[in-house]
Amino acid sequence: MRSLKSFKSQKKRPLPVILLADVSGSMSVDGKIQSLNFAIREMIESLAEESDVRAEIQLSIITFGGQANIHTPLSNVNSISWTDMTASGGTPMGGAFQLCTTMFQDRNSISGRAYRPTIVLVSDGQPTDDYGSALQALLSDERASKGFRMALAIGDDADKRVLQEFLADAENNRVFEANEARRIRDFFQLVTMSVSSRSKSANPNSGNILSHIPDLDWEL
Amino acid sequence: MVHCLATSVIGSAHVETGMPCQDAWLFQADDDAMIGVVCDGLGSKKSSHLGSTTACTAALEAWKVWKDSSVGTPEDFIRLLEVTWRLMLRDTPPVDSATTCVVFIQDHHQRCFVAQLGDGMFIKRQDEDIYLHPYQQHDFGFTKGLGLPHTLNDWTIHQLPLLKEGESILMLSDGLSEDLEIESMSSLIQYLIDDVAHDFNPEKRLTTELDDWGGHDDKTLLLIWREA
Repeated sequence: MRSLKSFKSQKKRPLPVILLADVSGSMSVDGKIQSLNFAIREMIESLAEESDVRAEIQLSIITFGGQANIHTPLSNVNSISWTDMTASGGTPMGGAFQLCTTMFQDRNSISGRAYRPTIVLVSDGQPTDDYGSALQALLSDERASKGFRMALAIGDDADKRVLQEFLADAENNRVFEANEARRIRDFFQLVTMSVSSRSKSANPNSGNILSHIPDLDWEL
Repeated sequence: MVHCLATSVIGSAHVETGMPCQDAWLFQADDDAMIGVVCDGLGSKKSSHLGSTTACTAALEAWKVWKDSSVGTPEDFIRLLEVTWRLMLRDTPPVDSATTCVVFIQDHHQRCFVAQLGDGMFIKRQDEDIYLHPYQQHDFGFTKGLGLPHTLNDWTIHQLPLLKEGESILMLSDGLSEDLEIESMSSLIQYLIDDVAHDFNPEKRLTTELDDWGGHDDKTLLLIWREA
């Protein structure tokens, strides 16, 4: 017998995660790019294994090293086959902000059905392009400005001021710091827990991004 | 003859937290004149259940005044609704009572329109054709609403031809609309008219089916149709 429920869409609502990853030349030293590759691969595997989720977790990776590129188009984490990133060139962070804003403005990419996206920025240096206007465009864009934002500064040379500008008035506007490569993995475990927790919660749109994580072990 | 089938059901998130249903609906017809309203109180606001029910009542009171004059515009109706809602809330702060609002109106002066502030869905079916009211999208759980900062321009208003025989109107809160696809709307309306409305107890059947729908959010469905 037919029921109202038979008209319900079988498609889960997307929960997009957009990662802006610094792959400039400086990331090639001290095992940073290797740690970043390992951490992202581990995050993809963990998110793909999640069951009982309300949402379809999607991931896109925008890299900035020499030039800003879409390394991984926004797609279901289950369908991503990971290719390691390589590090070289300058730090065109503004270009990455631009690509991110464009992605948000494209409703075919991030649909109106999507749950609130998460934008993650990871960098070990200072922008080498004129990032200011691109960052302001992202922060003032009607859609992009609504994303949860998280930021990781890798090493002492990271421009924490820019990362703080990126977080602006985000719910948790703390820049995480990784002074050794293994802490990159810790940060991505934090991102994984946060996304996973939201995807299972009663309302994936709401809630403080870190309130879902009770025992946060992070050195400030 | 105009028929109506409607209900609101509480979502699991509100059951778990002991909160009331924050959706509300209203329908009233007077010969060829009619009003249908669906409101969804914002979950983050402590008195939004009051806000949504009051918005339905305020829309009805505004309609009574508006429909008696042939000179008023849809914008005039919105102004009346906004003021009436604030006055009817009395001491409850509007910001604590924030609610979305979708209103369908037809009157004896051949005026017919839909007006929407915030989330929700309005559909008109004519034969097999579907008109989806193009509300302004406020993505990722952010929405406009009564009690939140907004202007008249945040309302999307569309004038419609009068509801004819065989035509129907479907109004939904986002607890339902976000899990539906536009391609299935015509057959959904037909199912509601042919199956649910012909049940021994249509409202109970609809409530049971919406309870079975799942999802954390409150859900409201209001169907209006003119018999062919």
